[in-house]
Formats: sequence, C-alpha cells, structure tokens
Amino acid sequence: MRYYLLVTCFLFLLSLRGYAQSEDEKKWLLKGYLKDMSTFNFVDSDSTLIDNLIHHRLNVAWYPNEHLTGKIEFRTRVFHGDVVGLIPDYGRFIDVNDDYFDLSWMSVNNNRVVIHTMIDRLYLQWNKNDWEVTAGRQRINWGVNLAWNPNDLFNTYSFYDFDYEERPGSDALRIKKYTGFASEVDFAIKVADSFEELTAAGRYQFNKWNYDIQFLGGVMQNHLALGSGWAGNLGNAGFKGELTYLNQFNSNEQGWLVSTTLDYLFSNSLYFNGAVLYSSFGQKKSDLFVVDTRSNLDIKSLSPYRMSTFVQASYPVHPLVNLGLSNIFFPSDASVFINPYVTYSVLQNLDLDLISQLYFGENLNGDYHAVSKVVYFRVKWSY
Amino acid sequence: MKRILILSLFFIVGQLVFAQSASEIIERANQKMQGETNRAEMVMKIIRPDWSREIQMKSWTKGTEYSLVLITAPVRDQGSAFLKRETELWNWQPTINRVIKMPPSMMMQSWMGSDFTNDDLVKQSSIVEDYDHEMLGDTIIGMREAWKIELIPKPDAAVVWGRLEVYIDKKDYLELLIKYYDEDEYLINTMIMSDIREMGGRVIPTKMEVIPAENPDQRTVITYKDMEFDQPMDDSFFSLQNMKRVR
Repeated sequence: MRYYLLVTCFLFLLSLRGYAQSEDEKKWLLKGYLKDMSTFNFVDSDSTLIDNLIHHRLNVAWYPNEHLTGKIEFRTRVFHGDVVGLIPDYGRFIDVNDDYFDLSWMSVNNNRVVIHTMIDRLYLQWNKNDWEVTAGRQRINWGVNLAWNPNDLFNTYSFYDFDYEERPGSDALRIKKYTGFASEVDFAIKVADSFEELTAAGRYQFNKWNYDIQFLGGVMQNHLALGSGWAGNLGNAGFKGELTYLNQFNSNEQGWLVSTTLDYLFSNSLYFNGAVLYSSFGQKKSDLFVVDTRSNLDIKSLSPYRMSTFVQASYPVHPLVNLGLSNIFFPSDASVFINPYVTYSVLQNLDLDLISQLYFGENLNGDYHAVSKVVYFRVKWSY
Repeated sequence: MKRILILSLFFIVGQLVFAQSASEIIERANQKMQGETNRAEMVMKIIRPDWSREIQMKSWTKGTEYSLVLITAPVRDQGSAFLKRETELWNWQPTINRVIKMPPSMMMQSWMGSDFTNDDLVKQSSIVEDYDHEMLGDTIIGMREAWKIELIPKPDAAVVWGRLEVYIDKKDYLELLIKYYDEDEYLINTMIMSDIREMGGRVIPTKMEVIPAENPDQRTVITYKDMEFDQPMDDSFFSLQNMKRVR
C-alpha cells in the first residue's frame, strides 16, 4: 500500500516537474536515476550466488525564496536473488538505520523479494548573508581524503560501499558561518536520546599558504573527539590529510586515526591516488570481516587493521571508457582488497559499469586464498 | 657608420612601436571578449566521428584571477561547480556534499573529455600578461581584414603552448582564429570563432570551435547562449559559499 502511495506521490511530483518547467522553473528541481545491478558472488568453484538490485533515486529540491531551500531525497531498492533467499529476514539485514527518526519502510519483505524505501535527505536550509542553518536529515561531510576520513565524525562511509555515493544522512541541526572565501565556522548536533549516543562537534576551516586547513572538536558517541585536516599541494600533486584523537569518557580507552593522501593527474590523463591509514584501534591481525559494506560505520571501524594502504589508478582508454584499479593492502598479514572497474558512458544519460571486488587473505587454517570474489554489472540511467 | 647606427635605431624603434601595437591589439581584443567581469551561459558539444556529448554551463569570470563554473547539464553532473581563485582550484560535488580541493596538475587537463583544457575554461593563463606579442602582418579571414599576431609565452609563464598565432579582426577587434603550436612547432589545435552578432551589448563571436590538428574529423564547439559584461562582481562572490549556492 505504501509503495502505491509512493508511486502516486512520484507521479504527482513528475506532473509538478512539467508544471515547474513551464510555469516557475526556478522553484522546483526534480532529478534522479534508475539503476539495475546484477551481483555475481563466486562462493567456490561450483557455486555462484546471483542477485539483482533495481535501485531508484528521486531528488526533489524546493526553492521558495532566495533564503530558503528544502530537499527531500528517496531511494527505493528492489532486491531479488540467491542471497535474499539465503539470509533469514534479509529485509531487516539491509534496513540499517542509525538515524534517530525511522524514515524507511519495506513494502515487500519475503525470502524472494525485498522492496526497501528510505528517505536519506529531508531538510530545510536557511541562508542569509554569511549564515547558513540546516535542520533535518542531511549529510555532514567533514572528510578530505578519498579512501579514509578520520575527520568524518557524523557520516562515516565505507570505501567498499560503492553503490551508495550519496551516503546516508544524519538527523541533525547544523549552523554555519562563512568567514571568508574559503573559511567557515561550523557547528553540528545530531538528535540523540542520551549523552552516550550524542554526536556534537564544531569545526573551523581557513585557507592559508594555499592550503585549506580545518580543526575540529566535540563529542562523538561517548568519546571526546579532536581532529585536524588539510588539503593543499606539494608541487603539482595534491596533498591531503586528516587526523583524529579519540578518548572515551569514563574509560582509559583512547587512540589516534591518521590518514594522508597524495594524488596526481599526469598529462595523459592517468590519475593516481595513494593513501595510508594508521588506526591505533586496529589490530595487527584482523579477525573481523574486513570488507565491511555497512553504510553506518563510525570512524573507529574505518579499518580493522593498524596499518592500511590504498592505491588507485584510473585511465580513460577512450573518452567514454574509464579503466580503474583500486587496491587496499594490509601489510601486517599481507591481506589485500583488489577492486578493478570499467565505466562506459553509452549515451548522454546512460552509464554502464563493470566492477569487481576481490579479497585475498589467510583463513583460519592459515592458508592464503581468495576469501571473497564478487563481480557487479550495473546500468544507470539518469534523468 | 653614423648613418647605419641611425638606421638601425630607426629599425629598433620601429620594431618597438610595432610590438607595442601588437600588445595593444591583443589587449583590446581580450578586453572585448572578457570585459572586466562577465557572466555567460553556454553549451559545449564534444563531437567525434561516432559519438557526441553535450555539457551546459554557466560561468562567472573576473579578470584571470577569479572564475566560477556551474554545470547545468547533463543531469548526472548538474549542480557540480568549479571555483578558481588565483592558483587554487576547488570542485563542489553536491551529491556527496563535499568540496574537493583539486591538485594543480588538473589545471592543464582536458575539460570533461573535450578539446578544451581546465585552463581554457577557468582562464588561468592570460594571453595578455603571459605572452610576448609580435605583429606578423595583415591577412584576410573569411570576409574580414585581420592582423596576424604571434604570441610567445614568457619564460616564467605556466603555459602549455610553445607559440600561438592569433588573428584579430581590424574593424571590431575580434579574435577570429587562434592556432596553438607546441614547443616543437607542431600545430596542435585550431580555434575558429564565428557567428558574430550582438550579445550582452557587444558585437562578439558567439561560437568557438576547437579542432585538433591530429584528428580533423573531431571537434569541440562552445556556443554562447547569453552573455553579460562588466556587471559589478565583488571578489567575495568567488567563494566556497557561493560555489554551493549559485543556480
């Protein structure tokens, strides 16, 4: 029933789009995409799990006047396939929601098909002069690096979760004052029932010596959090970094997360990005499931290892075809995550992606082998 | 002997006068196309023998120091923006709500797969300040009388080209044709300006076509839809705040 309501709502919004374009083009903006992704999970030599995911996203922006902006964004996913049948109550498994308000629902949830809809942006933003106030479900992105973001106290993301580039939002209030062309003071507080669950922090960013530099401090889920980040260049290469210190209240637990990145684009369009992450919360040898694709992580679980290294290279073999290889290596036990990909722009608004995620490491018997081999094929149509 | 000296002096002075006027012509033509500030809406079409892509954008420019470009189409990239202030470059990605500081090596790269570089779009280098200008002579481009002027980059200028040949219309001081040579004297790109008409209160070429010498069957065409010149723009307009807000 709820799904029909959504479809009706969508059709109504589409009709608005027609109205918007003709009557009042500036007030409403609608866009979105439709993706279909097939997943091939090669479990062992004679067993392959095949799943399909249809994914629709609708972004609605509303500009009632020059000071106010409203946004609502939905994602609806239709899961179907072998893994859906294998995992009991798959719907609950994927319904990850660390936000305060439950804005997700399942219109279908059985062992064959799961239809899951979620509102991951729902906010009002008010702007006047140098002030900006945003209230509602929003993404607060304080990260600087590509692979790992120790500064991301609010919406930490996992590099492995490539199919959710928008990332989840936080139910929060954010107040920002711009103090210069690249400087700002920012304060954000997430809705919480108790101090243990609360995340509230401030951030000051400024531009000096051609670097964007930020300092941040606050509380993050029962931890004192202090951090700093920078983005600038060494010669013609980009040089970025983030570090965060965490100290748990009423406990001796404390530690550091440090990550730096160098990136460079060669004149033939070959792009390199290299990064390292040190986490004092990590272990030398991981007993955790490394490829953690849960959307709602916290920065302590950025990597289960103490040291992690990242290298990415990408190259347009054709102006419409981009070839890339990302590689995350954990030196302490030589386990490695390998992520080759090809993206192809078929038409102006139609993209094809072939992505593989391979993870090699030691199993419990100490044998080095392919722990996980997954191939994804994705079609995306944007409108 | 004295006569030779005077003659050569005349020659040098003549050269100087000539060189000065070449610089003046370039400056005047540049001023005509750029203004003190300009705001433009344009469509860029990348044309290849077997495919084509179209990108629409709005841009705000103040001199060579400040520039802001907003992508309005295709829908996938809509809302993403580029800000340039002096030597720094930022990119706003609204889908992930993040400003990315771009490494300087990105400046000289092809703009979204086209025959233009980032540098062409955000006007990092200036044909007035970064080059020495020399008058090569008179010629005719299309139906128009034009000057042919050679531009050699100054030794310390961050310019990828070895030499430019710029053809300027004598009547209206319009850039009509630019040939881009590399340091080994090979012709790399040819830029042709056409569709000369009134826009933003000025008579300007509203179509720019770049044709790479190696692949004459491919081209990138920029068509101006709307332009406005010399509207006051504060330096503070070119900020991270505004990069996220312009529509």
